[in-house]
Amino acid sequence: MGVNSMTINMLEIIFQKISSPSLLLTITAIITSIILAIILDGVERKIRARIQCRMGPPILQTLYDLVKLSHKEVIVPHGASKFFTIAPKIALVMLIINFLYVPYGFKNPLGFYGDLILFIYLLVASTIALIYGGLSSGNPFSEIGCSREVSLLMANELAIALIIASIAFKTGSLSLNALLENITLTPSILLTIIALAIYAYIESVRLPFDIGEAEPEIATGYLIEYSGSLLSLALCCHIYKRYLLMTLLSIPIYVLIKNIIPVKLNIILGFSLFIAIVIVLYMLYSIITSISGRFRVIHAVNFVRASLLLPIASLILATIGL
Amino acid sequence: MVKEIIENIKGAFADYIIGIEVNKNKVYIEVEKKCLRPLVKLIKTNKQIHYVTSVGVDERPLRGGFRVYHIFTSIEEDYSIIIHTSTPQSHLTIPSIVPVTPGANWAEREIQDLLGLKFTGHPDPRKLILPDDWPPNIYPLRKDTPYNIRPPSKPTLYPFKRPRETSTLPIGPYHPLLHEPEYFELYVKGEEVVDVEYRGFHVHRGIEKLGESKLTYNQIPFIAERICGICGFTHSTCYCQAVEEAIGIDVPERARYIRSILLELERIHSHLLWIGVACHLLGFDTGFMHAWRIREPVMQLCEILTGNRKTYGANLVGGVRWDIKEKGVKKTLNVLSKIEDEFKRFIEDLMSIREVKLRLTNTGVLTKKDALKMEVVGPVLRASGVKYDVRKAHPYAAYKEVSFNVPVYSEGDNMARLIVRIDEVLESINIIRELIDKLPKGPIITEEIEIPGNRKGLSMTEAPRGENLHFIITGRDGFIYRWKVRAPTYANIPALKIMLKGCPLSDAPITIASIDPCFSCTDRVKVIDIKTKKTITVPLMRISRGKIW
Repeated sequence: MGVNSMTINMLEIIFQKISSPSLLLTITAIITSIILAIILDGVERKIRARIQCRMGPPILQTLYDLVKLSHKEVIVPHGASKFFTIAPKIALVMLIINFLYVPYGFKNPLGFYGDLILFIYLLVASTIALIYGGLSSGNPFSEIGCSREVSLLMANELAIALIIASIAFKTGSLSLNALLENITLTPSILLTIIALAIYAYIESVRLPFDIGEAEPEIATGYLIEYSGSLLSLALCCHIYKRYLLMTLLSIPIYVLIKNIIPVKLNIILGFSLFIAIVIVLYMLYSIITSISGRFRVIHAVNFVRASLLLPIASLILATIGL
Repeated sequence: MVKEIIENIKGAFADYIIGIEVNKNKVYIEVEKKCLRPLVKLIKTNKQIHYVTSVGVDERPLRGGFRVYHIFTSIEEDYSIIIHTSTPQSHLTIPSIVPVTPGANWAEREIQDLLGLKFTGHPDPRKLILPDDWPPNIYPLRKDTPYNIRPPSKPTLYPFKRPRETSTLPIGPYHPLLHEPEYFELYVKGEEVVDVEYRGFHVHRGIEKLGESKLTYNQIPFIAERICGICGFTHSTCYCQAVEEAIGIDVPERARYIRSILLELERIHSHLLWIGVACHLLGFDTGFMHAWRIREPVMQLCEILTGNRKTYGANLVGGVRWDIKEKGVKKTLNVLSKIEDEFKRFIEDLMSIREVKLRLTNTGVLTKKDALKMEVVGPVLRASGVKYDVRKAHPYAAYKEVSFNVPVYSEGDNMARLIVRIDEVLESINIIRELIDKLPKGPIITEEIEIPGNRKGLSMTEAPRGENLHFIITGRDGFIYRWKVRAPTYANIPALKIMLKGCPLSDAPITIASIDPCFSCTDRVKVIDIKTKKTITVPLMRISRGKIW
């Protein structure tokens, strides 16, 4: 086989992939998600405001804030290491990569075997990048915020490891796409979903778990020295992380709902249903946030430790085939 | 009891007593300075005697020398004992009473800063009030120092006592915890607070000096009301009562009732404000918003009654300026029943939030013993199990004629301080109802007042944050010679050192806030100049584009 025919072969494959409707829809879904995440943050602020009997800012306020911040001066503290300025950029890039692999209600053509691991890895790595960036600012509030965030992260990562393990047992795969096909309603899956919901909540820096920022206590903790466009990026990371966690949680719920409804969904309807689930879950989380106070560090860590029982139980159930 | 104490003093220190003067329930005992400490020790052996504050007076234009008043009051009987002693200008030392009364620590340091007296035997004679760059040997409250002095800056470093092997965490001068300038330096090991140092008084406005040098007696109520941004009316009432006592005039009954009504409205909105802020510090912003929503009708009611939401401008020496009309009475009752319902429901919801309960219980504990030792006041004292409320112990305005309970809890933690305030809001609502029911008819102000010179007046009120004291000495031509204010937060901040020790860092903000600190009340004494050498005006547009210079 000559070089020419190989090139033609490859081009053919690429052409097939590009022209496939699911890839076009994936690109649409990614762009929609990147915009929707910012709008949903505005919705969350609006919901919080309504619960607090306030008018609340316009839905697009988050976007205005981000744009405004990106025009402002960046002040790098004296003695901060180089990583301080790079960290938010790295974190954001990691999260944006994650958008590529989410199955938006249909099989994602960009997915590959093991992308579930990559997805979680990048989520955690982006948080660690932000923590490390905050730590390199040298601010004492930042240091305390980082230590709090790390102690929470350590406890919570064990939960996600267990969750992945029980998912792998049930679906026999470590790919996100496999989740779409192999999930059925069993006790272990149900427990896994609940555990995942708790994990996603804790990981999404919402009250009562925002101990690493805790504005009245440690003046926004590890974000304290960030300003201008760097702060804008760091806030973007928060927003995207929340959205990505919601999509992760939505996958099994979407599959369960799809199995219940008798109509066979085409690719567009599937996508719409998926996004609808994401929005509903996001709003549900917003309500929980606005009716809770902030935990003390030890309470938060203890809560996470206690909630580890759920994924452990689901893993045990999964191994015995339930 | 108090009479017994005075007899004891007379017996033990007969040779040192220069004179005793009695004005109604205030006993002024002038003594020689060398017996000051043993005498105060004798007074303090009695459990019901509470030290309030010390006042330094520059008496050189009158009879030479300086005079220091130590004010004690009974927490059960309506009596106050004032011990005073003088010292000539050639010997500016007075024995310190801090070894026997730890609560006098700040008051003596204040006199030292502002009048230049030295207190021998004071355990911690560091600067308290003057800023770090204030030059030595300029004492702002001396009569020969002009009120608008702006001395050259002479920067020095404040000697903080930093414990070893701890990391230093600055809270302030600007920090999202409290929206006023103050500076706490927390020394932490991991998440535990080991020690704390306080440096405040960034917002002096020289109110006392201003009142003594520029304003006449009837202008001061308006400036007194501006001492505090929340509970100003209690300050102007307290000042007016001090003057009324000094010159011996009676206030019309209706005026006393109106004062009480406004004071209680002020307490309601102040406590609601605090409950909101406490929720915010615990991360429960929904509680914050709802507490302030419930508070809003009270503010609007105040506007209907006096013309202002805050800073009512209703007090004058001899009575009040605005009468409460029939329409106002009706509106008041409506608002009260509305907020009572909403407040009760809100508290029910608040108490069901797990994080709020977890974080308030057993944090920032102040035991009864420490509370008495540090001479704390108000809800902080009552949450530590001491039943002392100025409205009951030293009734003023119309409080003698109404019946109410004084909520007391013995836990001494942040939760107890919250519940005391919650109970007080409900009590206040009932007090106002009763006052309105009994509101007598008649004039609201005594006309034709003459202010004779050299009279002393002392008045205390129960501000929302605790016992508030105004002490005045009248001067010539309707001026006040000396006007001393002791706001409640001034007495409560030193106790934070005890409350914060060993508490987790995450509970430090709520503990600091649990005394409901009001820094502008505390920082009211004299004129300071904290300007840098040059000032540049920068247009807002340039800042927003990131170019500062």
